[in-house]
Amino acid sequence: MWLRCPNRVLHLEEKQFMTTASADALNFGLRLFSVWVLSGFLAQPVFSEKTASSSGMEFFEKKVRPVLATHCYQCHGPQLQQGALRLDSREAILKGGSRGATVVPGKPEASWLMKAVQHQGLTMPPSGKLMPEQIAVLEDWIEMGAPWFQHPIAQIVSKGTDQFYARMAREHWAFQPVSPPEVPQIMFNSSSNPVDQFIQEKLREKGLEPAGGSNRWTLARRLSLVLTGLPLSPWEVNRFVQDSSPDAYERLVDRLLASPHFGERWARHWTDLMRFGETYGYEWNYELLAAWRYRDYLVRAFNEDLPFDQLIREHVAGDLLENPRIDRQFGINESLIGATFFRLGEMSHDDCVKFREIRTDVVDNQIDTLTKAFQGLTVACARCHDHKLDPIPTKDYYALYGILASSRQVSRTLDTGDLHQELKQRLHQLKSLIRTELASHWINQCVEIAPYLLAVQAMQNHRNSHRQGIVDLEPRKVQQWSQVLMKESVDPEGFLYPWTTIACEMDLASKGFKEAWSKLGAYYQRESQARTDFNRKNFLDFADFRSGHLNGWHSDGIGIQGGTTTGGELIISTKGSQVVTGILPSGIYTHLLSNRLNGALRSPYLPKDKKFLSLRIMGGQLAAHRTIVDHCVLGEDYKILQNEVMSWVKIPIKYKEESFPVYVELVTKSGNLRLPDRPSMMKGYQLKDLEKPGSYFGISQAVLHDVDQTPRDGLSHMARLFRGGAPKSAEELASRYATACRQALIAWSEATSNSDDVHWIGWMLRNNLVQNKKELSPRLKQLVQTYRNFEAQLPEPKVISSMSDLDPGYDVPLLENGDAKRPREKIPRGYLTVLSDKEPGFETLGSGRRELAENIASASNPLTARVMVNRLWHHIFGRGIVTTVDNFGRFGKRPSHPELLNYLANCFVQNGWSIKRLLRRLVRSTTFRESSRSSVQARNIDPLNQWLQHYPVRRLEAEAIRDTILATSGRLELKLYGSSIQPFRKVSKDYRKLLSGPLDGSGRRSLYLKVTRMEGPQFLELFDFPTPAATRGSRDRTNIPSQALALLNDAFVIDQSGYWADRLLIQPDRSLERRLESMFHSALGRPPEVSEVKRFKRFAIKLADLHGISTRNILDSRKVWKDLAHTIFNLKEFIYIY
Amino acid sequence: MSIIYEKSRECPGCVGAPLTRREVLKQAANGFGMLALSTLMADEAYAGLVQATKPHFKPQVKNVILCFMPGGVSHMDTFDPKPKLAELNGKLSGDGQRTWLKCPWTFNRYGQAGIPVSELLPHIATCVDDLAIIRSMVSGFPLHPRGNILFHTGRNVGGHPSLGSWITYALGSENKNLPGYVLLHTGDIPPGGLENFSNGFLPATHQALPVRADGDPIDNLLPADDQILQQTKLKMLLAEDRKFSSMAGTDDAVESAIANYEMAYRMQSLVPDVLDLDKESEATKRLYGLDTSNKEKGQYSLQCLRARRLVEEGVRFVEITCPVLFGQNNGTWDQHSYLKRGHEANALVTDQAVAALIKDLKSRGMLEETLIIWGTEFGRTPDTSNGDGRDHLETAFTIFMAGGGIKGGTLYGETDEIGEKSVENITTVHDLHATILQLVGLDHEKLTYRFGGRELSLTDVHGKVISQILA
Repeated sequence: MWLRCPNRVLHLEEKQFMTTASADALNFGLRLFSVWVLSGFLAQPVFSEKTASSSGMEFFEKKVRPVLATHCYQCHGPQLQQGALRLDSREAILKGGSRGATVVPGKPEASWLMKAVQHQGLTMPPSGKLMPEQIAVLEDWIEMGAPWFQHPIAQIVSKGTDQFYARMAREHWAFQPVSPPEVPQIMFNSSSNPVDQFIQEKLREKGLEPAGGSNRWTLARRLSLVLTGLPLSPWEVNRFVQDSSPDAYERLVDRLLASPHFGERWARHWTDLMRFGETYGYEWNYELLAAWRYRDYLVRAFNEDLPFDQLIREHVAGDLLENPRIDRQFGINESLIGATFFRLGEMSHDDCVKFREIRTDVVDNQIDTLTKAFQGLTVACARCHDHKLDPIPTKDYYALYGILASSRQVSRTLDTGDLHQELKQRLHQLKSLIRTELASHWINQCVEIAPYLLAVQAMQNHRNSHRQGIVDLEPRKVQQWSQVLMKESVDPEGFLYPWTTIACEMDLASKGFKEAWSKLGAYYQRESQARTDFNRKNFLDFADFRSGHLNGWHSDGIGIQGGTTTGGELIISTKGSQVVTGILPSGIYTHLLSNRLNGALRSPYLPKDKKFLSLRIMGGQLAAHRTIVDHCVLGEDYKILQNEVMSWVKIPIKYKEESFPVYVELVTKSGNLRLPDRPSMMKGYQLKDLEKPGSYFGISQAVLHDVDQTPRDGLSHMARLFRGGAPKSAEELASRYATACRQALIAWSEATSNSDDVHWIGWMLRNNLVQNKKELSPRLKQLVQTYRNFEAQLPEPKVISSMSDLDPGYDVPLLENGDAKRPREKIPRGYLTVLSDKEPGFETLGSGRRELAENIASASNPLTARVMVNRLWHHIFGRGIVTTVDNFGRFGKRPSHPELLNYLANCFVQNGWSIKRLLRRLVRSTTFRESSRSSVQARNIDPLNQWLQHYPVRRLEAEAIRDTILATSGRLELKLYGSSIQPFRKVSKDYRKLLSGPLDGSGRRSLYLKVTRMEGPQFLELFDFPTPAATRGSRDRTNIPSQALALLNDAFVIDQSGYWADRLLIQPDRSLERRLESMFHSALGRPPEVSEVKRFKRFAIKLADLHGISTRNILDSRKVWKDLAHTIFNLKEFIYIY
Repeated sequence: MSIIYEKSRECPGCVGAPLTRREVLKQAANGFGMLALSTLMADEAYAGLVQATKPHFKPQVKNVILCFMPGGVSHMDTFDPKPKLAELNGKLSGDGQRTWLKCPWTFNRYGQAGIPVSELLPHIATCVDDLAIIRSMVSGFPLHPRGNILFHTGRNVGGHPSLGSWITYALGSENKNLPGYVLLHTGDIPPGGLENFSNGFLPATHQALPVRADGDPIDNLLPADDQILQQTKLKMLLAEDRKFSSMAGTDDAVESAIANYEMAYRMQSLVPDVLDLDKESEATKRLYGLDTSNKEKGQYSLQCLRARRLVEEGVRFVEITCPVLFGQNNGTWDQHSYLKRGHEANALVTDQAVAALIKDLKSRGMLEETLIIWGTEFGRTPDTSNGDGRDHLETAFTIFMAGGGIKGGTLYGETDEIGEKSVENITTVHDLHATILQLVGLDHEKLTYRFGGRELSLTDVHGKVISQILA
């Protein structure tokens, strides 16, 4: 009505369009202006004498200022004053520049401005003549007397605001410290619960009498639904109703608070605030990596009554806590999961440098969620301008923005390693035994190298000298050697090149041979040197992992822990007769023990002064290298690795701007947030490949360079053949080969192999010159088998989307009007000025989330405890003490019971931020136990029931309706935790990740249904299940015919009616009455009244009649009982709390 | 606006947090009996039937039909001829990686005004005297989801109410038994998903009711029980629920939930009746192209004819989306390649029925009180990266409007000579929204809703009414 927020600014480069856009911005200014005038807080805007008419002002704002702003201010504005002329204020225009008055009000013909734009003596603007209608506008404007209006935006950002803000901070109730009020003493009140004292004092003040207590049935149902979202079992209800001890109710409260289903209920309440979604939305609806683990984390947290301040710390900085909370049972770092909350918003995969909003919207949504959920403040309003209502300047927004912008959004491994440790140790030991065993066989096999080399060469040369030996040789090995010789005879990089090109072509006794040999030796030496020089000249070390150091890179994952090798590490094959799949050079690997383990390795931000980064890497089974720009983690820029041996991969370093941090990451498939990718990108792999365990990568070096090449590999391993001068005979050369291999294997067996050794062993292995079979010995076979057995037991690492601070934080510029293309001065990272007594700016090395967490999770923060206790109150009583639960700012509602809110907030903090203790206090109050029946007097005096004369009647939430149906039918599966169940859909669209699940959701509670963006769980959405877009502390409770249609006709409801009927039929009920009674107990938690039994009995008979079933057979008729069940599901009492 | 605000104590000019409509009614009823109030609210307020606001202007039209063409229709191949491209065809454009691509179809002039339309749309071409064609549209984003969401909600991110939701919210429904906003689709929801048609922060009553072309058109509308059985149950429910209502304490939400069963019951028979085309003449069906053997065309024609029937029954806002052809899942008109084949197939499916809708409404005298909008999220590039397709272009595209208040035979706005940029009378989606709201009698600056501590509107701070296309 009066305030229209320029929340989004379109980025259009067209000049013409800018005219429109700026006109809009100015329109905004105009609208804003009227607000400020009315509000009377600010200094009056400046009017010129002739501008009183609003039409003139409007004309100026809409038509004139856009022309001036677009075409003139660049040279005649705040930055530049060409010809000493400014055109951005009326005084300046009237004063004019070096040529005198630019505008003579009322006289266009005498105004320089008109001459200039008509290109008479001056050519303005220099870029090209204005459109005729623009010139006409200027003329009209001058004729009108040049009305001008100085809109107050400039003042908002300066002093006026400071005073206004100071006043708001001083006066608005929510910013005042929480001081414990005195509890009023009500004489006639028997309750000692202070909640009741406050409520009843107000009631008395208003002349209202409390409604009086509810009966036990009603109370039990209300309490159970409110605390757990499930009805009590008939057995439990009975237990409570029969319990005549004075503390029966209190004990029921405690039982329900201790129920594991308590956590499920309150986790779901919390996810409403966190805009919890499990896919990213937009075109492809990418999966949000294991978001369900965050939901399970909440269930545990609420069940364990995790102190709320700790919950905040974990949400804001769970990845940074010095002493994270470890769950021993699951072997996971719980605190790490809290920070997943930042990641739960929607996100697009497109290039976020080209489309800046993709990134800025993500951060905006994080700020919005953080501040609404924890502080009840609408900080996101300050994205484009200082907050108009609350003391939140735009710079506070960008102080927060910097914190979030400089936090990385990454996949994290939750496992503490405990679960893997023992197995990993065993695998290590076994590997070492396998190596020793294997090495001893292979060393023995080296004896064969020389004879085979000679014999096979002889065969190829058709020489006869070694013919007699051949009969003893194995044909398979002869075949093998022949192939190697063929392959390596032409390539100087080949190990056998010296053998094939020289030793076999020449007479080794000849003089020429010696010369040729030393020439070849020199060639290798020279070439090695040249390569070293080339590498040294052109490549700058960014990271060398051969030393085992991380070089400032950041690792995550079970596989990569201890995944360093100085060379020679073997990888045990997990199937077939093969023992090893490879021997690795020095570096860091994820699969030294098993490719079932995971890993991620992330670089520091890349320097922008080089053109390329090259990595020497290997990897497979959907591991990938990704380039992450400005933390846009769904970026397209990634490649699936398919290198089984180490090779160089060159990555161009794009985006030279300092403002876009770029890093690369290597990830096993579970850490690649793009997987599963959309169909057209899933080249060469399928969904089922993703589900199979196993993925790996390794890296040895990272270099920066400008040349469009990668470093060249060394040749030092060839030197072994040239030691000791030229060989005197073929036999000698052959035995040099044998020695080189043997030497490598001995070093390997002693775990002292260097890179040359690894080269040689790799050569043998690749060419099957040694036998890589577990059948070499019974012991080897057994060792390999044991290894494989243990390997198969490794639990799959648990990976989630979370955050990390891997780099020094950086400040970001304030964006004018929220426009990423208009950066202004940098704002030091910090918290909201109004809530922090310190100077702005955090003194942290990281992003600042630690300090941020402490600022929020603080007893002295006036909002944190108030906002949370109000949320708890809202869920217990159906509306908050402050009804605008997400907005405690000046435009939120004021508290109905401010002292009570203070009192509760104070208690909350005093009791260690215990949610359960606070809830216990609320539900034990007499106020909670009031009947829902209002008096006529109450309806007249307080129709909204804001003074809580009676307990408010309200519809159950979507989840509670569905869960209650399942509980009543008997289908409810009370299993906790686990990955989400796809909601039922009539049509599934796998390319949009909209898959269909079972109609009854496998009987699981609604909490476990997958929350997909684009199309959420349909049955739930009908009953106001929120769209996961923004914090939603208070759900709608709409009443729409689709709800009636769903309960009448939806397949789920019909199916559950049948399920319930089937269960009823197998019960040994003797009479209609007994069965109806049991149905009432299951569905409504109470016995039927006598008249109800009569009516329902008549109804049952009527149904039987309609189905043509005789009264005698009624008890066995599925149709009748299904219809009865269906009818009961449709009773309003069934879906209302009262 | 009828929403009543509390006066802020500190600031007489500022209005405070609004009361919900229910609160308003409750407070208004203060001191009177509750009974009348309950009935009133149960019946209307809760079903979203009451108007949130009186029209700000005299409405030109009562109903709106949006024929949305997702994927990005090429403007230079439909309504915005660019002869220059024929000259440039095949030559390198811009960065040297792309080439100019001429329009593969010919244009002819139609109507009294001689408006050029390509042979792609022969049926719509015959209606040009009723159309105001805007050839200078611009959008913010050359990305489908954001483009679609912007076109529908005026924002580039989800969570905001759709145009149809705003209109039904403001004006209420004319028919007690039908929802105010209906989405006719053929199985595929355009990128951006249901957020395109969402009520956002407005009450859920104002979300689009999706109606499928085949199978059960509406979820849960098909009664699970035969009529007598259902009536028996409903009778029982009514009696028991009334008792519960008085037992639990008179709560109007319960009362209106009870009333919803009445409406639901009526919808079960009425809605299929409206959607059922049995009573339509063969000539009408032929006009819409229902006699086709092309499955998608048949579905689209069916939905267009249903749209007419729905507005006849008083549904405020009907949107029709296109079927997906060739298994493309990114929006039907999204021809990055195979432009000719793709656009021809899409035109074949939609052209006749859209034209039929205009003609049919006109012949029934209903066009004067109905607004038809034919639109798309953005245009397509004049050049090509692969020789036979066009890519996304947010800086120029074409839409048209027809119906009450619209000056027929109008061409508005221009693009440059290759169709790459709108250069004259540049029109934003917000301008379009402002104009549509004006036609239904609403001022886009006054139609606001308080959410999350702010007054929010469809056009945000943007938008101006395009008066030149108005009669």
